[in-house]
Amino acid sequence: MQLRFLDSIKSIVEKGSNERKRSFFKFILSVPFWVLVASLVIGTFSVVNIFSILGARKDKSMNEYWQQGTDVRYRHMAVYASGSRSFGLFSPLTYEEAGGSLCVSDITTIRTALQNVSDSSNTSGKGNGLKDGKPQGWEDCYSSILSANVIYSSDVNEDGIKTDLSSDTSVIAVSGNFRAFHPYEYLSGGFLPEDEVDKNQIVINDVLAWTLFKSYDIVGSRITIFNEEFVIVGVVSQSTGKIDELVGNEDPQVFMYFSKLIDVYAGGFFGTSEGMSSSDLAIGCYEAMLPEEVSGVANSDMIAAIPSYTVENNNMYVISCTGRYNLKNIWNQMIPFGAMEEKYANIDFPSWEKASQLTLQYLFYDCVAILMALVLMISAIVSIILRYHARKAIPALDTLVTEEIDESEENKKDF
Amino acid sequence: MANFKKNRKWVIRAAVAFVLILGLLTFFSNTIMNATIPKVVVESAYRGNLSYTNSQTGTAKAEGVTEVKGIEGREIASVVLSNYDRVSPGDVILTLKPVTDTTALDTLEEQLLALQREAEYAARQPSTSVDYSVYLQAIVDAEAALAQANSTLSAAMNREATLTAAQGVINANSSTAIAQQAEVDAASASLEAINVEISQNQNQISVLDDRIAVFTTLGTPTPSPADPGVITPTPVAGSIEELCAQRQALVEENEILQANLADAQARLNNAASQLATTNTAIENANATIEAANSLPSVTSAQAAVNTANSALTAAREAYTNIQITTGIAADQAQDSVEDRNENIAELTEQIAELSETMEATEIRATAAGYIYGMTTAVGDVLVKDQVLLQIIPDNVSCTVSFTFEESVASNFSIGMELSVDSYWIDKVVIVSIKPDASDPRNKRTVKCSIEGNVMPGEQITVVADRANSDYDCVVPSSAVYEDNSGTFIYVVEQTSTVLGNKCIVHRVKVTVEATDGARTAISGENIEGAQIVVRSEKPLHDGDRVRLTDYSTTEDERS
Repeated sequence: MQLRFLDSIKSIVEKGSNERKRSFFKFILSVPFWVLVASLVIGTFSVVNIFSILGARKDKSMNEYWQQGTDVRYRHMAVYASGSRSFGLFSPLTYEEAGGSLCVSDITTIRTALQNVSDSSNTSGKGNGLKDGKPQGWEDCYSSILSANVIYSSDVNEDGIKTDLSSDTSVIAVSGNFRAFHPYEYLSGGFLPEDEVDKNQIVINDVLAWTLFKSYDIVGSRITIFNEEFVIVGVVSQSTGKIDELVGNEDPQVFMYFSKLIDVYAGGFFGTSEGMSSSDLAIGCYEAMLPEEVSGVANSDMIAAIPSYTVENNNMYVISCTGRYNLKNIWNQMIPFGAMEEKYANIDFPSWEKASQLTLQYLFYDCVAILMALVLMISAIVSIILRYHARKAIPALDTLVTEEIDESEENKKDF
Repeated sequence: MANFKKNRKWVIRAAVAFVLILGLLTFFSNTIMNATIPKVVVESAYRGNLSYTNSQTGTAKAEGVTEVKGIEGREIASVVLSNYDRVSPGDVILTLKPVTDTTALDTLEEQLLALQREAEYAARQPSTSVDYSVYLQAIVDAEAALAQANSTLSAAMNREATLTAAQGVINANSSTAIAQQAEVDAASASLEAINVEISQNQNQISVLDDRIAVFTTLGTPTPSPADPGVITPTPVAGSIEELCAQRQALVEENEILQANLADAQARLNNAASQLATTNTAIENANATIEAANSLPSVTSAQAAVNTANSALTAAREAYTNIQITTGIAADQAQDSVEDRNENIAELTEQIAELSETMEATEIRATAAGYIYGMTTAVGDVLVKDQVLLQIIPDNVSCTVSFTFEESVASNFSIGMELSVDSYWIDKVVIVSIKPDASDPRNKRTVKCSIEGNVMPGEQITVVADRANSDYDCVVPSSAVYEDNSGTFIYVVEQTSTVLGNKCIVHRVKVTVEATDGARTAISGENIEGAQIVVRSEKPLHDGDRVRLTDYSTTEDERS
């Protein structure tokens, strides 16, 4: 009885072991298939991710929107410059040195140079020249970023109490045709007109609008920044995904006129002595939509137009936003790793540029993943083909193996 | 057979999977398609008006406000009164802790003592004066060198003429000298001859004298000379008379010869003198030639003149510089003395002030009114001239200043009222308009009086003007786009298809008539009544397919 029991246990164990061996061999033989599946999954996921994050970058092809309807090709160029801040982000960017910082007078110099270039490529042969200091035949804008506290004083309620709501917010002081370079979704109103109607107009983002007003239909409402009242003329939505969240586009933001920031600065709000002039304020970002008859020439035009700029300069970053997300550019930006971040560590990039850089990073990872997936796919397909050919040349290898296992079982039984 | 069954199993599985996937895609095709089509919100253009505002913000300032300032380094012991408490002059507002640390005062007193000692020692220093004689002598020497160099230059420039003249002199005097030399020789020979003759005669006279002496010794009377005009008989030969006559003749001859000698000597002297003169002239000419030949070239002489000029200039500059340096040193010393005296006075004042403040134990009100803007608390350390609080008298009047653009301020006038959105302020009236100091051409400072319940330091925003203009087509500014070819809007065209309504956007060129930031007045063809895109998820192209969405639904989703 005991012996029989032991024998039955032994047979069960042996049977299980053989089953496991069989399963193990089957698994090994099916690995190419699973590798193929994994490569397809990785590749698909990466491709979908690429489309998703590129789709979230609405500003990647602003040149195409600008040039539609005409035969002239345009390139979106951006220059990011450095400066100094007296007490962190709550103070404006101030001018440091030529070749590293940009001020309002530098903008005039750049505009004059670029207008000359634009006029020289004008097929009519007649130069347009700047009109009231503004570009003709091309477009530009500039901006600077700082932080501030925004206060909304609500109306007096029934009890006669007035409540103040406040929020620390990112202030983007803009000038020029900012809207042509940054396509926001408007929840109400519009953006600051290029020609100032009222310097005390302001545009806020949806996060701030909801924080202060619990609504987006707030055009005409007033908020206080820098101890001055501003009228809201528009509410914009910026956040479209994970990247926007990471770079702070889901934090409160306001857009005001750069000329108003100059007035606030000159008035001594930031603790500076009165009489400080516009030349002390630095511009963090200058963007231009330049006509380009020969591909790549806008890049050199921009570099030549910037006063005192040298290519070795680490305090200024010139980038072509057009065609930024192609493979070659992704490779140049990311390799060697961390080199670009280290080189331009002293530049305070605005959120849209941080989003672009993060997008490049994610695209790089996705491209590497697609490459890996391709390699895996190719190796899986090759091993499947080789296995197929081997199966044709030799009787089913797996069958042979299972037959061997069965044979060994029988041998054991016989024994 | 087994293989066939196995393959058939796989084919069936693949077919089932394919059908399933196809079914899913078909089922969710609309969802997938909608996910790729951007959502837009549309509105029709409406007749409306745009309002323009020019607003500015300023800080209210009270007239007649008394500021109470802090005392450097004092700590607040207690706060007796607080904001909005009424005070009269002399009322205690804050009490201060007594000063225990007199380090600051001691330091100042030490500094004062050091300065006073320094002043005393400086006053006892002997005075030093600079000797300018060396510099003046250098100038004189340089001037002499310059004169010499100029002279050399002049001589060098006239070298040829000088040489020619000297040579001429030599040439002219050479022949003269020869003749004169001959004359001198002749005169000398003549003189020599006369001297010889005289000497011979003298010898003969001596001989005769000897012979006469012999006769005399022998006692022969010596004949006395005859008187003039008396004819004496011819003496006998060999006699004493002959000897005397010979002697007399010789003496007379010698006298004549002496006379001739004198003449010859005179002639000789004259000839010698002339010869000497001629020789001197020749020597001078030779010396002149030698000197002229030893002169440097004109270039070198000019260089020497330049060098001498430079040396003179340098000498003068050195003299001027030493005068200036001496003057500067004197001024510096004077300034140092004055500064020291000022510092002494300042320190004395500071010590007095500090002593007075160190004795203070309270801060009192200096005017009547109510306290406003006090932010200090117990334990705060005060800073000199820090405004601790303001005492605002009753019935205080407040003013506020705004900065407007010149184009806006040109419509203002004194007495004009500006509108203000504040519950507490009744009126803001312009009292003065003047150019702004920071930009007098383009900006104006507008000072206004405030009526109402306003607190000093309060931010007040006024609206300069509100203008309304009617337009036929007004849309939100977000509906108006701009690109290289101009401004345009997107109009949605809906068409019915088998699968439902299909919305396509089309570009329509418009002209912007006006904008107030939030809304824009436009004009263009076929825009009245059209469905205009006022909001889209992403930038659109002409001909893009879109789907209409309801804004309110979206807001609910966001909330």
